[in-house]
Amino acid sequence: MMVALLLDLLYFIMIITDINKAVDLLLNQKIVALFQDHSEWGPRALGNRSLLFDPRNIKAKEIVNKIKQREWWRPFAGTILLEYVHDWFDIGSLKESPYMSFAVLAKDKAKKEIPSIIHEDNTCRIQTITYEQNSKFYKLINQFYKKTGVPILLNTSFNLAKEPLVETLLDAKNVIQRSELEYIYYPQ
Amino acid sequence: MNLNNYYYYFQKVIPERICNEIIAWGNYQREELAVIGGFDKNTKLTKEEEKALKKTRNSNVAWLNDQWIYNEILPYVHEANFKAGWNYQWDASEPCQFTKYKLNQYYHWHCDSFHSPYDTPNEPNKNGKMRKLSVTVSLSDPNDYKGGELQFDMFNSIRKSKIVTCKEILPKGSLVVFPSFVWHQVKPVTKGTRYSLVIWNLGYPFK
Repeated sequence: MMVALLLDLLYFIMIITDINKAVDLLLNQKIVALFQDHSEWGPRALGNRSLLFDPRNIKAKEIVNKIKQREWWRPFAGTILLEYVHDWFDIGSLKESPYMSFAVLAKDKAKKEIPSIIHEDNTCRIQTITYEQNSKFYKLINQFYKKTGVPILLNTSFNLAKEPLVETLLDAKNVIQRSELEYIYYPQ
Repeated sequence: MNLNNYYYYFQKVIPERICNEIIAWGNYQREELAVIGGFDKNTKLTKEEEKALKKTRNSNVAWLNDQWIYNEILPYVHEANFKAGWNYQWDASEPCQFTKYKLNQYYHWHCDSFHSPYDTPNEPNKNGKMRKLSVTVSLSDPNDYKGGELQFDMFNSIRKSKIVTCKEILPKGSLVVFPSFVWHQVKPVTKGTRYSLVIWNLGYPFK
């Protein structure tokens, strides 16, 4: 069933399994849907059903909101490799933010280099990630970091406005067919 | 007002992970000395005012406004309101008060509601309403502190006063909902730190 659906999906959309191709797409300012392992439940997408984008793009909010069919002003959050979080954000007494619960203050470097995920009050609802927490997502961000020097990706939930989070591959196909999304990264 | 239930509790309903997240987030915020009615929290207190305040209350607080916190807690306020038989009309909540009771800190006898509704035209969700239901969440593991017991005065017209200690909310992640006019206190902490979260829920005045 799973294989059949994957093959079916190949006819409609571009499924990428190679991490380098996924990063190239991000560098070419494409939105990449990350679909891996078990589905997610809760208020945030944490890297198993996520839409990812280059946070350096100053028009990211406009572009991703249009694709998600949401209001233009809606803000976005980001995911950062935990070991670099102090370079970009003032997380004070917090040790980590693995569930994207905390809107922390952005440092000048973040305001300058990743403006698309910094809110009007200079905060960002950040998710920190370690290899142990989500190895495939970690590797993807790390690869992006090696190419750009930015250990962060814009991360928003894989769904369209007013819809629940994508759960199955069938849901993913359904969203792709009804939107301008083109690429799914399905890491091996 | 005589009540059948002065409080209604739920044990261990807020997951440990959520409690820990609230503590971490509360400790990240700018901490301030908690005040009581009659004191302006936006004005720096004089030494005399601080002395007067500490006759009633000595604790540190921070304010949290995150939707994910309300989502975890408010369903229990609705459920308690129904199951305890209060059935109060309420439709808004104030910011969450994250409270840190350190060694020897306390909050003596008080009730949460005021004698008249809020007059806050610039805050329409609050304007004309009053505190009707309070909820207190135990965020700490009971082994991490001593003292700090929450007590209620089950005052009524017949027996006058009856003080009970709310032991039911000792387990981490437990919470208690009570009408905001019920008198209560937090006894001094004698060891460690007790973290709690309080939300006041507002409705139009009783008719």
